[in-house]
Amino acid sequence: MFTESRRLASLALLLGLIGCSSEDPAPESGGIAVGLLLPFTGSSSATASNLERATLYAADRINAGGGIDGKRVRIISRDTHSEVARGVDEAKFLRDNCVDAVIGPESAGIAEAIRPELSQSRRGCDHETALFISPLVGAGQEPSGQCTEAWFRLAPSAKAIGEALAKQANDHAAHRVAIMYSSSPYDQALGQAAAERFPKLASGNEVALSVQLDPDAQSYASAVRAANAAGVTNVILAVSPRAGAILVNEFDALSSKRPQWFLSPLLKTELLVQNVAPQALEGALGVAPGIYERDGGFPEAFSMRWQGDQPLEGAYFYYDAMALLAMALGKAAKDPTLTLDAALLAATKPTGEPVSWDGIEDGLERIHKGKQLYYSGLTGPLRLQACGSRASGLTTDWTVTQGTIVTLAD
Amino acid sequence: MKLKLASLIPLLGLSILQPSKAFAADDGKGEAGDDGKEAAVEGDSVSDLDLVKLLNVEVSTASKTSESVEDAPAVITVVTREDIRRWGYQTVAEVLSHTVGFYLIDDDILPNASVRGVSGGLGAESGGIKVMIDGRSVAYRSTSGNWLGVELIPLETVEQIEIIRGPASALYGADAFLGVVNIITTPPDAMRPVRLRLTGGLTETNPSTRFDLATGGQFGHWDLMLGAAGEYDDRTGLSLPAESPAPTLPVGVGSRRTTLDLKRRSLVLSSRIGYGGDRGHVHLSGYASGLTRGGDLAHWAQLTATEDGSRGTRVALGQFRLNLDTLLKATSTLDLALQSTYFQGGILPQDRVEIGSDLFYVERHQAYRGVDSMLEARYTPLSRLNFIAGVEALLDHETLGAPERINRATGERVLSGGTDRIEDLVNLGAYASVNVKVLDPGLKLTGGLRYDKHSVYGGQFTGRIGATSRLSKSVVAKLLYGSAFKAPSPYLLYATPLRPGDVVGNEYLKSQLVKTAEYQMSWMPARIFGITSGVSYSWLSDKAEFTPQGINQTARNVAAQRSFSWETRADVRDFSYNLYASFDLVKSTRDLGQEGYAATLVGKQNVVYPPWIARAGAMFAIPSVPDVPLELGAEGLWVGPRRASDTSIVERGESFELPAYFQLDVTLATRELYLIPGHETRFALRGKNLLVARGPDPGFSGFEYPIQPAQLFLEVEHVY
Repeated sequence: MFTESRRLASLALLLGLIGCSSEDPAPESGGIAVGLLLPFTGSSSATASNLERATLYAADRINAGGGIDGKRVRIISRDTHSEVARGVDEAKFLRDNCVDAVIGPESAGIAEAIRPELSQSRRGCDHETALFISPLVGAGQEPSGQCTEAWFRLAPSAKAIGEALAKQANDHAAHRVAIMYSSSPYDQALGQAAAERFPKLASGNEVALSVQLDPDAQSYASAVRAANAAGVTNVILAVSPRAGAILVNEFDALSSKRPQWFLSPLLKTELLVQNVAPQALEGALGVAPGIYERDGGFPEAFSMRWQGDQPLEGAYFYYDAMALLAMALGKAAKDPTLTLDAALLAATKPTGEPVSWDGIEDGLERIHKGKQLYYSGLTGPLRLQACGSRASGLTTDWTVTQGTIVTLAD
Repeated sequence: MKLKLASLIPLLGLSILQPSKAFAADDGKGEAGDDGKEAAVEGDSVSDLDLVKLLNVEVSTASKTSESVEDAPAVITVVTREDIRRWGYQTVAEVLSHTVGFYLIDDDILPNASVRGVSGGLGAESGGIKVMIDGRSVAYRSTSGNWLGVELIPLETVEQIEIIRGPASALYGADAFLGVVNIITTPPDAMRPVRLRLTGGLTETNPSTRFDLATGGQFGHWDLMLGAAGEYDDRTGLSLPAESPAPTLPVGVGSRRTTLDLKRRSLVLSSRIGYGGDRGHVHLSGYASGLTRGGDLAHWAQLTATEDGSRGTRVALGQFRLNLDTLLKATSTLDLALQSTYFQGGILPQDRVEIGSDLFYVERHQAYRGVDSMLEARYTPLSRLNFIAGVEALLDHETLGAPERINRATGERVLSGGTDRIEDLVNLGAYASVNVKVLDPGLKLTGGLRYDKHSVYGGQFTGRIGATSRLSKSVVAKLLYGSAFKAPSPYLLYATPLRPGDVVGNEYLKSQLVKTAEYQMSWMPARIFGITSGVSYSWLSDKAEFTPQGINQTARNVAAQRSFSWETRADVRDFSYNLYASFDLVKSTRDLGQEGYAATLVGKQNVVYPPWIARAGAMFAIPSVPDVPLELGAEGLWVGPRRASDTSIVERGESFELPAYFQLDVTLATRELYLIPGHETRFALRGKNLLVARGPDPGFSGFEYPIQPAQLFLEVEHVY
């Protein structure tokens, strides 16, 4: 009997050892470290994974082509939790871990707070400071041209988008509008630009209501009631997709007449349509940056890489950020006299041959061989000012028809 | 009317499932011998009976053949009617939480059973196991979820519960994935005119009450059984655990974290009428069940109920089944069985879901109906050999209505309407199984194969092979290997989100697959002592995990899991005491199949399932006045520290563990008390979770679940 028991114990031990044999792999190190700040949790978390996937996809392509000057790109993702304080903590973490660049965060408010942290000099790192690129942050106001260090922002300025939304509303015979925006600086600036522009477009135009919304709220009933009380049926909206879905559904529930929506670029996503009542957004209009390469194979390639997931509007900007960064690092590696900031500006300057989103692997190889190249983005020409803001690009109008988002014209 | 053990033993194999008689004749004799049986019968003592039954328990779930639990080609635990009475289990969920190899998370709506390290995750509703009554699945088809509460079955109609850990799709098709729970109802000639259990007491400070009734009997060739059970319980007052990293709370909740509505109502009615003779039988059974749950801890939004009752999530579900079972003993070696079930279920009108909006709530509309029919042949050419072959066809008509938003102020539907989606899902299956005693009683082999073809997710082969061996008079070994699949539920295929971030369907979702190798040894050196220990290793592939789909989540077959478990249980029983202790050890790793921040943060270490669970129970006769003999018992459940779910880890931004907890249940009960001569009445004072452990258990939506509250109640059971 004891023999049998020992056999049993031995077998259990053997299987136990088999079961215990796998361990988590050690974290990768070396290469070029790129910090990625995104809101994986919190009020703005809805889109983070999609944006991360765009960045990872770009890094995959770069690494598949041999990396940057022979070094592999390594993405270190951190969660801002959609909060300034946590965003700052994570930025410090990335800075102290010698990342070569930081891509993100999601909002101008967090970005403004972490800029001082990222501009601090570091010892023992390849670069004294980390390059800072914010793909979805535009200049809150028009760039002044005065700055101590560059902060690269790839989104069009809030003013440009706000004014475009005001014009869109005016063009569609709206005379009284409500403007609703989140408390993020970019959305605030957008709302302010729309509010200033709309009354000037035609006599009789009036902003009947201007409401700032808490991005974390579970309900916007008071804002909806206020809009109904004011008799407003045209709404310019600049919030996150999650907040947008809640607000649209609540308008749908409380209003006797469906409002005419004018939506900001971040709301140009099927995910918003998917999360509101059927028909609730039918006929909604919006404005978005012109994306040049929409039909150039990027959505298909992205979808194939990520098991059918589709790129959001913001994903194009994150891909561009990573690709542009790679070009800049490649140029800096080839010419050590270039600062990272200067290298990035050089990578956007239309000198030499353009490199498209799907030519990034080959482009890096050619930069390594000394070719003059610049990056021609998915999101259109990346003309950046010295302080890093993007010169106003084209915008396009879009609408929702039969539950599907349709781009009206580039 | 005394229960005759001599007739009971074969009857245990004569369930509605009517397993093959192949091995029953020569295996019915256990080590207790005939003398032991007779002694128990004469004494008519629960303890006596129980002890003998322990040594002679017959099961039918492992191979659809009546056989002793030692010979059954499965890792199987049997919970008898006497076990249920002794420990005061009121639900099958409670039974499973005290069963080795299982870990239950009660989300206060529908508990989720995890097995051997594998957890189903958000909204799994114990869908990883197949729960059956007399061999028939009772899953709520739209979610493939299983109800394990009072609403599942009147426990007074139950003879025993056969619990298999490990894959069993080769016999039972889809969803017999991580295990099978087959509830065997009382056979016709073991019915009593009345079995009634009434319970009243307190769930912490709230009143609670339950009833459980079975009645019936045999009248010549005819038999009848009626059962009913219901509960009203109120867990209101439980708090949202402080460990919860990101609950979804409505605007007006402020700093309050206590629940205002966790009221539970359940009702189940069951009936069976049968005609039996030498050539077979015909049984017609009906089953209706419904539940409502206050949803203050529902995953859409939490703490949504208000004091005045005007707001709050209420989950209300119902289902109905009508079964026809026929058995024809065509020849002395061939039985033919035809079984057919009409099923229907859906969301009841009382259902409403709060998603945090001040302006509206959501009404869900979902229903299903269909037929599941099976034709089976059981051929027993030799006493040592039998074959089983069958075909099964299932049609499930799913009506997946678009959710409607209801204006809170007017009660009217909002402007935007949706369209219903209707899906007809068809599954055809064919299977064959063989059991042969190569050396009697030294070696028994079993094997089986099944093929299922589904209209949406395609074909699936599953199989099993195993050997059981009596190495000596007291030692039994089992070596088993099998595969199984978990089919995607209509919900995961076609879900419409109720709120931003909710689950959206994935029409391309495939089945999840598991392969498991198991080895178990049992040693029973004396009639009062037995110990069973076993190890298993499971390979789970195409595991469905919720992954981001824009701002929503969708299930995708991206993950894989490897899980090793070691389960041991020892029992010591005699006429005046009953003790057990068990221990589970689980080591499990996952490959999430995903990249990026969340996958890196969560890593490969398993989540949710505790690496160890210890259980023990003891029941003793205690000194008492002769007319009122008493017994005192306690049952403990010690759950080890376990990692929070993926969602909670990501929300917190770091991996964290939930602390171990110990749950203690205590019983003081009468024993063999006959207020009416010949008819036992049992009074029991029971306390559940008397140490008021709070857990919590892992949640999947940014908050954790408090474990079930303390309860103190008086129970009266009478058998006439």
